[in-house]
Amino acid sequence: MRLNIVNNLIKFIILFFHSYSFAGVCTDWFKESKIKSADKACLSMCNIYPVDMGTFTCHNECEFFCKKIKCKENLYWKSKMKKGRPHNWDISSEKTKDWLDSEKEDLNKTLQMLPDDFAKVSFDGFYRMEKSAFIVNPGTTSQNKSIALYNNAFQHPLFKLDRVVVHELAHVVHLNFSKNKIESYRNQMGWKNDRGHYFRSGPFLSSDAKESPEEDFAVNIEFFLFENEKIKKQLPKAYSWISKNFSKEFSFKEVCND
Amino acid sequence: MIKNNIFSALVVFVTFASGCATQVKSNNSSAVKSVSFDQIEQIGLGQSQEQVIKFLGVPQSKQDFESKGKPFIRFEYVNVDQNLSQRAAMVFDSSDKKVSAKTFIPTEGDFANSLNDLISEKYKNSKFIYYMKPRCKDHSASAESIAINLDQGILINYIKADFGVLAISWMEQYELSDIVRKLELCQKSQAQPK
Repeated sequence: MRLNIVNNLIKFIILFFHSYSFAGVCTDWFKESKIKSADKACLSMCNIYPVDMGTFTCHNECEFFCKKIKCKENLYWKSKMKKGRPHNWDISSEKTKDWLDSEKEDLNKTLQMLPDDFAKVSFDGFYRMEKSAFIVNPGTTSQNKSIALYNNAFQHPLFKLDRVVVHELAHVVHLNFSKNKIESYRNQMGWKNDRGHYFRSGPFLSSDAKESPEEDFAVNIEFFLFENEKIKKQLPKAYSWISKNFSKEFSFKEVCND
Repeated sequence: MIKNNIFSALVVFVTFASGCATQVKSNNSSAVKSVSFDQIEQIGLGQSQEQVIKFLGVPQSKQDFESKGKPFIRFEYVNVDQNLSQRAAMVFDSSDKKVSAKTFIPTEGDFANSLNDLISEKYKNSKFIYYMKPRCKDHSASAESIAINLDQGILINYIKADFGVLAISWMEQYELSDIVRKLELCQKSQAQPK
């Protein structure tokens, strides 16, 4: 009787660890496939993605990996998609434009996945504008903490809307910083001032980042969320500053796809 | 056996104590005071490099650089007690080694850390012109604003939201006029239809 219990316990432990390790293997397998749960063809792509000896049961998990996540309506972000012209917009030559439904939908999807840190700062809202006064610029943040998204944010092959939105929101976060916070970032990154001009030695993750400490900050936030491993390796000082000064949940939420 | 243990404990203690002593010594040697606002203010443009070293001490770093085709030397002084962040910069014309500009970075505890205190304490009767940093090169706005006194050749970078001072720079009038000209040009170009 006692031996029976022990035997069953051993069987249970073996089974538990077996399925547990399979779950991990399949999660890695799905990650490697680069298939996104938001992809419309997620299920079919997953079902034909090659398996090997170690992952031969992973096709059984496809339904789980491609499960539909309802896009919830986030009233905060919804209230931030604004019509018309931002208050005191400093470039008079820039014209406003109406949002297309598809643009609103895309923007909404991006906003859904943003970490809550972005919703905790004072922010006026997003405005749709036609063309930036600066060549190939997809977005701008103003002193009043308004963000203009130009045609290039939605149409230009060089830009992805989610990265543009994160970059501009990082500017908004920076505009909300106190002197101490601003200085803490600059000191960490080695920014220096000489007669009002700022400079630091590299490396920089993008040439835009060389322009000013603010641009450097926005670029680094963008990399922290989109290319976390890259910033961790190439700019560990920026990585550790962001890790320390943002919440533990400062990463993308699951993408909704339904 | 006991003797041996006492001996090893003694060795450990001596090693530890000597380590501490070295550390204290090195702390002492680096416990040079950071330069102060008053020290920087007292150095006049046109003073020699030797006089600056005599007054402020040897800088923590020196760099040669070019600005508008002219060679300059920059001395950098750091905050000895705050992550060695920048405290001051002195710029010399390479040809005559005389001060052509200087910058001071205030930190918490300095009266110059707040724009209101700085102005009421040092420049009560001076007239400053305040500029929002325009978006000329940068595609997005800055949290910073700039206060300029052309007569005294002073430029103050400060945070608009809390009036915290980021840097105070002194420079030749012609250089500051050039900055003002660029700021105004940029503001105008933004206002004009393209």
